[in-house]
Amino acid sequence: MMAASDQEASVVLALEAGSEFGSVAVEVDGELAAVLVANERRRQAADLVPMIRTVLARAGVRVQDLSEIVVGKGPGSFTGVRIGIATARGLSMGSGCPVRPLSSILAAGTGTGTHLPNAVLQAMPAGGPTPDKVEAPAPDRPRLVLLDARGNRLWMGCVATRAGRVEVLLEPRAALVEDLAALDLPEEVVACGGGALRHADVLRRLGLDVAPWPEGLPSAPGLLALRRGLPKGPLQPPGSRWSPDYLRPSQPEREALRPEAS
Amino acid sequence: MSDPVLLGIETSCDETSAAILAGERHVRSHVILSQDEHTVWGGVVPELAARAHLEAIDGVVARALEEAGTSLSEVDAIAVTAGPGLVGALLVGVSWAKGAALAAECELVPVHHLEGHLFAPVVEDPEARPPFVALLVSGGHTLLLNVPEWGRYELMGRTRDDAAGEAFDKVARLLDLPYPGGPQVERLALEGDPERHRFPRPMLRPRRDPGEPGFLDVSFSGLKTAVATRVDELRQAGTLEEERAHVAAGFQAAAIDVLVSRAEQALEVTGAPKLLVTGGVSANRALREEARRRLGPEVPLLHASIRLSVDNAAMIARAGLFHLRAGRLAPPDLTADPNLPLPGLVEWSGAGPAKVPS
Repeated sequence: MMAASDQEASVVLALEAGSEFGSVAVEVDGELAAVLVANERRRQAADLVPMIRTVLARAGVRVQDLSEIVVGKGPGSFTGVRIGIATARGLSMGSGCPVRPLSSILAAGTGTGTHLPNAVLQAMPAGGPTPDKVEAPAPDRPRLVLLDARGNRLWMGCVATRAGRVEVLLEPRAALVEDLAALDLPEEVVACGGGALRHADVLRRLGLDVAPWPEGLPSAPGLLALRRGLPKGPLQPPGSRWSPDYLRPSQPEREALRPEAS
Repeated sequence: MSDPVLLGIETSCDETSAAILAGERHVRSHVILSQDEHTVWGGVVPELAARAHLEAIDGVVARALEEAGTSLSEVDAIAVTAGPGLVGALLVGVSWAKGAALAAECELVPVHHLEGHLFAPVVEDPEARPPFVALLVSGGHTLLLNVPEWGRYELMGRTRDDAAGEAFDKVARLLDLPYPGGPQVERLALEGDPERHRFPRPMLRPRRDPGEPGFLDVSFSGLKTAVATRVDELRQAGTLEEERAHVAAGFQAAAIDVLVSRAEQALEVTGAPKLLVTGGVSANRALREEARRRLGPEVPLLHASIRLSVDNAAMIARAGLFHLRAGRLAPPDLTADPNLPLPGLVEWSGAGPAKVPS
């Protein structure tokens, strides 16, 4: 395992491809230098590398200058998560730069939705009810991030960000809507993310506020915020083997595990 | 760039493969990792295939580079399968290659998987170059092509329903053989009498005039149904177990008869001097032997070694070299296309662009 000090990690590239809108960001010496969010849904495979080129150029750095690549390891769209990770690993092997995989859902709870462009703002998940408040909730309110995993399935995680430090209140996990009632979280928690909007009526009945879109959308700026705010996760050297956080088996595995009666 | 070094990457189905090719034929390394995750499911599960590719790709490429004694910084281009295939599986290879090419500042060349199969024999045999008729038989495709030159593929026939390899897999399931079924049917057929159960040879005679699109098409669904009916009869009679090898041999003989007959007809109407058999099913030794026997000594039979007949990255690198030299590089927004049309595909009659093979 390679060790990295803050001094070494002066140029950090972040990639998030597991959400509806892929995003790329570069941080230079701790400051966000450039951000780009796709303005079309599900174009990560085509657009991620061109977006990386653009963001690096805007930040005035080259791939060879990178000291670290941060990538969202999920949960999220299985295919999207793989696109981000495969791109990061290719970049890593080509440049020698290590990769730091971080949780997409915890990153989505760091309150970095303000970097997202109008195309994303206008693309609130269809069918979701109107959020409780138009304005984003206060930055220090803990976020219960709920990502839609279709049907009554969710991915969830909860973080609190105070003075830049991120505390994990609920580790990322797969859940069902029915599981929400059993959560034991601080009263000031606000729910956010596409899954929160979809199941807002359930959350309201449970006494939870629902933050407006795109709070809770996994993004590259969120990954950088998480990296700054958490004790850093392992840094993976080029070519090393590590797995995404799918948090759910594949469909045939789920069907095989399903009780015969159902 | 007279003798470029290419890294080939193949992830279209259930093999994760990487190869280092220097020039046209110097395969400096070649790694093929066949996924065994699918055996229990009786067929390839796309999501599991994609997950397995992501787990494997770094290690496979690293080993290929190490065995070749090189690094990505010394690679001139990365050739990657962009389609057709399983989209989730393809996206792992394409995304990895795009990232690596950006970082290593090398060229990126998208390759059509079937064109890779056409180039597989020439990796090992310099004589395996056009003009030839190509019988391309795999788990997903069955095509008969007239190839006057690299990059021009004249479609003479295709399957109307199941691909040849698909038919082998389905018959394997009927006979309770494990996945992958093709090699299992071939193995079992060695113990059987191909004349004991004689199955129909669908569409053996051309139903159209030469020059009409699809006049050398093939079909395997009727043959498969005939095998299913026979298996049911034998099961009801309580004799299936002792007849399984004979059924396998009878099916294989019928399928090979259809394929080789079509290839002979294609050679006859085109006057092409050679037959090239390629794709995963071309690893079937009975197919190769029957084709060689019926072509006789006058018509050379071209095929790759068994290792280069299955899905592999060396053939992708070799096809990539062809396109690299022609300057056909990946656009910045390259993505995987599960239905990617074969570049240069036209109807044999010269009737214009052909439809995408099913």
